Amino acid sequence: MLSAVILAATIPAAACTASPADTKAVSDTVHAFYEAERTGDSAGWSALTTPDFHMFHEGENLPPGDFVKFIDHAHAIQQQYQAVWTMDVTNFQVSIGCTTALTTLTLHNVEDASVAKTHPVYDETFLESFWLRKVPGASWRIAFWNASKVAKPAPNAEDRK
Amino acid sequence: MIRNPGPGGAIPLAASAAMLFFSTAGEAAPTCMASPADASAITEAVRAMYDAAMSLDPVRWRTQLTPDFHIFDEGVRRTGNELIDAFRPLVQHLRSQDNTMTWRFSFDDPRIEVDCGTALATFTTRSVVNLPKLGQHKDATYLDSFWLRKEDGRWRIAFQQTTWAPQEPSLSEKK
Repeated sequence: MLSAVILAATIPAAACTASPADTKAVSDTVHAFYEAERTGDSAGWSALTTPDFHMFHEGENLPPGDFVKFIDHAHAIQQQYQAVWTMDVTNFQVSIGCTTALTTLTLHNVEDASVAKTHPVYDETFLESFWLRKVPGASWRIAFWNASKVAKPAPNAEDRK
Repeated sequence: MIRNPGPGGAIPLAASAAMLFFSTAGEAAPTCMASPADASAITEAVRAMYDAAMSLDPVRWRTQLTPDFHIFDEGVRRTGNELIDAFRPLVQHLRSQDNTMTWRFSFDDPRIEVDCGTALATFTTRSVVNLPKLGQHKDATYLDSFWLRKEDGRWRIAFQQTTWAPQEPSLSEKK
């Protein structure tokens, strides 16, 4: 019924000192991941993830195949409504272990179709974390992603007019 | 997030059942292997954190967390102290309704990855709060991920992210 899974991490203990290059590489991987999502580049996105990648997205446990569909669908909508999609990352923090790293960040995601006037502006903020593994050649791949939408405050009287 | 921590010793933690080791092909060579003891210790650390949260004892809770702990709690960023402050009214409210209340947790679909002194653990967490005097129980499901560090031989939680699972009603009342 329940099967705990341990993925044995794999690097000499003596090599567990994070370098600025690692921190930059982790950051680059996450930003490239977002860019692949924004541009609908499913192949590029897949290249940045591990074969066993999984994710929690707004409380749903999505297998990798479903997320590729999710990206494709989101990009299709963006194209349909001629939306300008911008993603702004702030509060980016990186903690590096031996062969793995955790990042936490805030993502401000805006899909603005106001110019084309085809669709309301989608404007949401997410708190997100990524778990990455280091692969030979000093590159990093994303093994797990968790995204939670930030609740918007209740509209005030002025907003409801 | 810490919505429904269970009372001490009452949590049916099934996460330490079977463990499967498999290689991460194409990644770094194995020399810092995780052990079954690590997996058990990590799930126990998560359970202990929930126990401590239920106690509303900040000192006890703090011992399960690293000093730099923070949480993404249903889309809200909180420090450890902020989390305790946010959680206390819920527990106190339920206790005021029924001081015989019990809280049970199970941690399903566990995935635990150990990297020498750090670890990732993800669970589908299910909780049941029983309020016998009211003839009610409240259940909830949410997705939890934890990042832990091993400090002084103990696993402590450095980061947690939790989100309600949308397919089930939150704290649904069932008589």
